[in-house]
Amino acid sequence: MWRRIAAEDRPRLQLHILLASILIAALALPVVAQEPSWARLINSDREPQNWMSYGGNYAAHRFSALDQINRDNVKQLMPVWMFHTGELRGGLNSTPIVVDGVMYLMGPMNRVFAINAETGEKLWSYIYKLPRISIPYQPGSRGLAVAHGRVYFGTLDNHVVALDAGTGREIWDVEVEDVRQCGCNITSAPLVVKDKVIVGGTGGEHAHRGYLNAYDAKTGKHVWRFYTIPAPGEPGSETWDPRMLKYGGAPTWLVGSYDPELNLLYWGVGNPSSDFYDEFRPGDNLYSNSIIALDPDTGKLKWHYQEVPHDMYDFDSAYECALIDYEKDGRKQKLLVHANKGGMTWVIDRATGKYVNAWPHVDILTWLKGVDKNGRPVGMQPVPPGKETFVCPSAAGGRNYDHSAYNPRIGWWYNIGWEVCNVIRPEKLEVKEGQPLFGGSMDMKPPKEKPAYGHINAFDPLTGERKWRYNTTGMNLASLLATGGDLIFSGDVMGNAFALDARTGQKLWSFKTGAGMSGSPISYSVNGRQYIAFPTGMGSLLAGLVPLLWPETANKIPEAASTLVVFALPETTSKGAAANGK
Amino acid sequence: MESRSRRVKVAYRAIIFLLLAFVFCLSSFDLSPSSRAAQPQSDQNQIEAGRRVYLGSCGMTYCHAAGGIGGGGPKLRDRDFTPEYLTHLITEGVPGTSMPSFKESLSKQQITQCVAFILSLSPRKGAAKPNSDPQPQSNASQPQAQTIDTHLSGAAPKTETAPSPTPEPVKSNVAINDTFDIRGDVEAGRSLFFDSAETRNCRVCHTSQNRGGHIGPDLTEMARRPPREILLAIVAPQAAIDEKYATITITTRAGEKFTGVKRDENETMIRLFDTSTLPPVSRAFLKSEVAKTERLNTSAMPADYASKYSFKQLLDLVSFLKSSSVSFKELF
Repeated sequence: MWRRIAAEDRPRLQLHILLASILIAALALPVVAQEPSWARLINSDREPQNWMSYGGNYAAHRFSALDQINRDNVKQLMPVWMFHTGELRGGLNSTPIVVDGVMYLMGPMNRVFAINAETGEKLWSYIYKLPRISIPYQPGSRGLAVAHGRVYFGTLDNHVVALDAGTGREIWDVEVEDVRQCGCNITSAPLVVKDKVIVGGTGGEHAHRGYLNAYDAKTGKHVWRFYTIPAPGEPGSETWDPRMLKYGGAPTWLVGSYDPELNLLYWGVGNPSSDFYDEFRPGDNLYSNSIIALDPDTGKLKWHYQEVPHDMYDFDSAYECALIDYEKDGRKQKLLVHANKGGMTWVIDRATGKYVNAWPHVDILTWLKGVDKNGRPVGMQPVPPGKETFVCPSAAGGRNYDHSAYNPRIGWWYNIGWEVCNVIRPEKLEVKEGQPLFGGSMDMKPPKEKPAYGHINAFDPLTGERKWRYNTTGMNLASLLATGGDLIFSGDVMGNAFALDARTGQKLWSFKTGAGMSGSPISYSVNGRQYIAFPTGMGSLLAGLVPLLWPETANKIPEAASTLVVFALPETTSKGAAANGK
Repeated sequence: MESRSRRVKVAYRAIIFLLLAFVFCLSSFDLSPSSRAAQPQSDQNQIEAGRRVYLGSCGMTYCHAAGGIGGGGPKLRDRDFTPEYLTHLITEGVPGTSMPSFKESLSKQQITQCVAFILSLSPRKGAAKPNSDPQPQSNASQPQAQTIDTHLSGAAPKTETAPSPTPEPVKSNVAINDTFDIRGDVEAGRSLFFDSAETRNCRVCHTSQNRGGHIGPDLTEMARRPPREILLAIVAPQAAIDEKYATITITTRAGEKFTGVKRDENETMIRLFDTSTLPPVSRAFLKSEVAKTERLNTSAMPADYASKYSFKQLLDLVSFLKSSSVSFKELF
């Protein structure tokens, strides 16, 4: 056949065959999945069917725009599938991630799963091999990150690992620091910013120098480290006794936020070590109990805002930084709304770090009389060593990592409060690198003349004006989820998943899942059906406090579990209602 | 008269002799604080001392909380522990959980005191239990009890004695010549080895005394080598390469090359520690995507420590490494 083609035509035909072969080969090559890309991640609000990062978006709103489930039909919610991680130690206190119909779930003891988000069928599992050492803080982890075709997570022995998102096979693994040396590890989700995986670490209760680290998402190379305790000579170092440099704590144990227009990475920093005994560390102890704003490309500090200088109560500033664009009377403000563990919420300008407002989100506070014009606490309650002092709220917090939620359509910020106090007794203890340095003891107590209580509130994020309050069972340890159907979802310590009307706080639905909740519910949709997923099974360090403060629950506390329970409207309802996804 | 004065003198001598004897007896009771501590403490002192140990090591809410009421860890009050069981748990820890081993951070005496304190939180055996509730004790107040329950199923021996404490590192002097001015400082060497602010320091790849990385050999046993050999191993790592940590290069089918220390392999995958960057990154490859694996006759250890560290720092490192083994005490 080749001979029948004219000689002068052969070169052109050869070229066409060559090009066709290349095209066929390119199509036949496996498609390298690089999803979700950075562009998709930072614009996740355009994809309400997915929940692509820890905080729902990079502004930590924990808001799903889906509205198929709403205040009128939420009573019909029913469980549609469940998933058990198979590991009870550490319960399930993570935030699942959903991308394009696949759910990625971080289980306790660093078990990672990919699950069909519609059917609950396991797609792959990966168990990170933990060495037989003691695990600081807790065996649970609060989540993972999915980006660039990979799943990224931090481990209980202080490593960062990347897996292939399609198959679950390991790609790279890098040690942050020997866990036995620092007494620190990673119990939170990484935050992917552009081409970097940014990871916080635990450590406020151990003698260790806190840090935030960034690794190259593709290669795992260490790109930058920001120490939360400045070195001698650096600005802020004058706020410490220099001998505490390597032992001062100030960890970054939760997850930050990112503003793409300002190109600022925000992270909350926890308490200084020797939590109650403060004579090791005269001075403000920067950057403990601060919000830090870093350049995500270099790790350099742009500004900081310290909420609790010279902490004596274990009042971390580690919680989520909710980035809220607030508009009132024609004036727009770029705010950062931040709950501190001491029961106060600080509001700052997220471009400049300047103080805007501060207001209490709990009823009972003894540790400060107020704040000055820069938001600095005044009249901080002294806690003398060797003596007992009654302080409210407790070192467990005016709330803990049970995250807030923001509904941009209503404009309200929803936050949990715990009215629990403690008796603090500071003591001078030996300082040794990587060893515990709690600085004394704390004994949890109800407020004076009242039983302990807890609540969920809707607030104006700037003024702190409360719109409604819902009284919770005990202290609510699970995060809040706000949805476009004007609902707030959460779960309580007795195992009840529930939904509140976002405008009134009235409870509209509940379901007894059978296991106490301390994780973070999410919402997503697949093929036009909206789902709400609740991690159940406690896994919180504070679980033991519940029967102590609410003795009526002592015999009724649910047993251990580690199960994800997923709800949806019955099929007939979800097909009939307006779908808001693919 | 003379006999009376003589009797008086004898009496005086006797008194003096008795006084001396008394003083001698007194002096054989060494009342220094260290010996006082070695005497068995009264029960109450023991418990009070144990309370302080508990406060510093156990009493966080993340762990067993004040008064042993339980928090992140199980409650310790109103329990039925034996001293041997508690001593074993505190000494060895429970690997795979948040309960660490305390044998390196607490002395035997501190552990004994802590055990006494914890036992004081429960009613004595034989006495009426404060809670006479006929219901079986539920897991109600210890939601995470399953970790301690598995351990109670016979895993802990009841008669095992606590292990002896690790010997204290001794300040050493590696100078061969007594008149040599520069001496190695063990503590300075230890700081250099473990400085977590430096990405190139030894602990990134090496372990000593149970801390550090696992990319290169464990250096605890280096103490048995002569100081000259240790120094050479730091500054000229190519001179003697440990077979188990040989450098390999993996070339993938896509043409990428990675060089480092082999980590492990199984039927489907091979992993290596990429030492082109510090801290090294462990990279995993499917064997199906590997085109070729080659052994190199080089050490992955950086070869420029002679210029990175001063001579004093190198001596400090050698001193520290020499101090890490019991054999050091035997030799010196």
